[in-house]
Amino acid sequence: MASEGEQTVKLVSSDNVEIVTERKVAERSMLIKNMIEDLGAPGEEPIPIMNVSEAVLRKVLEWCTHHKNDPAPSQDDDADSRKKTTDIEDWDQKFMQVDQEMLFEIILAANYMDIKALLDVGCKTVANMIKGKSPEEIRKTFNIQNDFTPEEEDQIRRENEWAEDR
Amino acid sequence: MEPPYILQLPPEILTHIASFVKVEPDLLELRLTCRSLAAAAFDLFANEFIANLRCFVLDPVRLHRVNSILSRPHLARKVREVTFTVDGCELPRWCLSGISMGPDHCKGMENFKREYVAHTEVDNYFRPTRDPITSILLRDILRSVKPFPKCIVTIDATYPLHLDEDLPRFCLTFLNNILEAMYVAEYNNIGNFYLSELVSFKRPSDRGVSLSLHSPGILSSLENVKSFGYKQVLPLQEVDDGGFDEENVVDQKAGLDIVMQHLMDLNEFHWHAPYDLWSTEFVPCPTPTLFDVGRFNSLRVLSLGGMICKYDKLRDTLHACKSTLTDLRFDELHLEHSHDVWKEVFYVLRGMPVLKNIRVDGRLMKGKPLDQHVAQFLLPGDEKLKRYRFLPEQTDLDASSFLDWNLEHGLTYFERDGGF
Repeated sequence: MASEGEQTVKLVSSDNVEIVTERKVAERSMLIKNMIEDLGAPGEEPIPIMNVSEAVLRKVLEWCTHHKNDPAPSQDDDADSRKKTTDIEDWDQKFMQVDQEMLFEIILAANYMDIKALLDVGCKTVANMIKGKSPEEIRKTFNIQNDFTPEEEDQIRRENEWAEDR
Repeated sequence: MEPPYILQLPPEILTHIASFVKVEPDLLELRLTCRSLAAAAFDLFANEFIANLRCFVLDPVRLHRVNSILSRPHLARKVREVTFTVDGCELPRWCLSGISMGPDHCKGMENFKREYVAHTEVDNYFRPTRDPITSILLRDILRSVKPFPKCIVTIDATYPLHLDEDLPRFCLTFLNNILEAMYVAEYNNIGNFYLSELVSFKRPSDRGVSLSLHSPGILSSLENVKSFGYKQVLPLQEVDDGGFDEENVVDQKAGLDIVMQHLMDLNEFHWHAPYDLWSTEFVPCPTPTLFDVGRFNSLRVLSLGGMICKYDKLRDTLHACKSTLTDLRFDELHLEHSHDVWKEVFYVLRGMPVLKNIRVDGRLMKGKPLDQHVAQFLLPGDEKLKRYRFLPEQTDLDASSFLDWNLEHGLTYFERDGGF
């Protein structure tokens, strides 16, 4: 019998494509890790990843492969996460150089598959896209419509002024 | 038409993204983008800017600001504490920070100071302290927080450490304004109450600068106070510029006594002042303990400093709150007689079942070499005391061997933070 490190698992994407990967790589996802533990026979039964398409799943697994030996995050990392807005390592920055559709698909997949570190990298990438921009520039970046009424916008402006006045 | 990709994310992920955005200015800009992103950023915005409102009580503009925030229900329900302070910089106080162990509250102070001084010295910016507008604003603020029992009000009349010396003279009457507003608003939920010699207990007839304990409802409003502090920088005989004569000192002591008698259920007690208030000379304490802290059934934090006291009084004070105390701070506390009494104090501490944090100013050990006996006493293996923190002054390293010994055992030391 293969040792745990050599075992493979079969994942099935939402568009019904089977992908075989190392168990260690797949277990960066807490969703998959828990499913493997529940199923009890890794490798035999395909694991459906229902909300994630093949292209996105392959991208997520690329990230998991690169980070398969990372230590488990500590609680302190969580508490400190606000201070690390721009702290994304080089490989992850390159990994996240994708179009917006893929970026947000990766974020959704990381959330669904419960891969906190990938979710954080995705969210930090978006936060960095917001950095230093005016509301109009943020709207333009993400193709957002301004749906405020003038009164609503005025109220938020006032609240922001109070905050800046503190 | 499909919404843009970012708005297809669920609200909790949008909030997670917002949590990585720099608070100023990016979070504020994000709020102005669209409704969904404004909603995602709202709790972060509220926690950062709204939850703890500090208000320099002599400035109507700032009172207006707090009042405006509280008049909007979606903001008002996010407010956890409203602090009325004599500090024009509205910085947190030493005794407001968590367990009162002295954070770096002076950070960024110079910028604040520049801004503040520029803003206030140009003209007579402050209105007279009996200004009816100020009173109305105070009353409205208190009425607004009244429906929110989890929102506490803090009155902070301790020294602004970092401002020009002239400022405190503006501040003498502010307490009366607040207390009168409390009476009018029928508000009696002060959570934290910090006084200093800035607040005079002179009789009401004197220049209108007294804390009038005789106004109806004033004393009963103190019954819910959880944290009380009195901080006096100088002995009263050394306070000039409209300071204290002997008669005023009698009033000051009596006023403090009355206030303290009306504190019913304290969690924190801070006293940093000459025990005798008037002078630095030691005056025997007539009561068995330094302060009547034994009547507070849930006192967690005791902070004593700036005074001389007898060992047996300190011991009995510690015994009186032995079973509940979690945090203890001695700062420039001078025990009479020989150094050996400090060993005894440490033995008393060892017997406290829930004591977790001790902070001691190294100065109290001046000229009193601490021997191995005391070092052995403070073993880190002692499960009862999780941390030992000392503040050795460069000039007071008589205890260096003791301190080094503790460092070798992985204990932590505070830098002196200028908090006193």
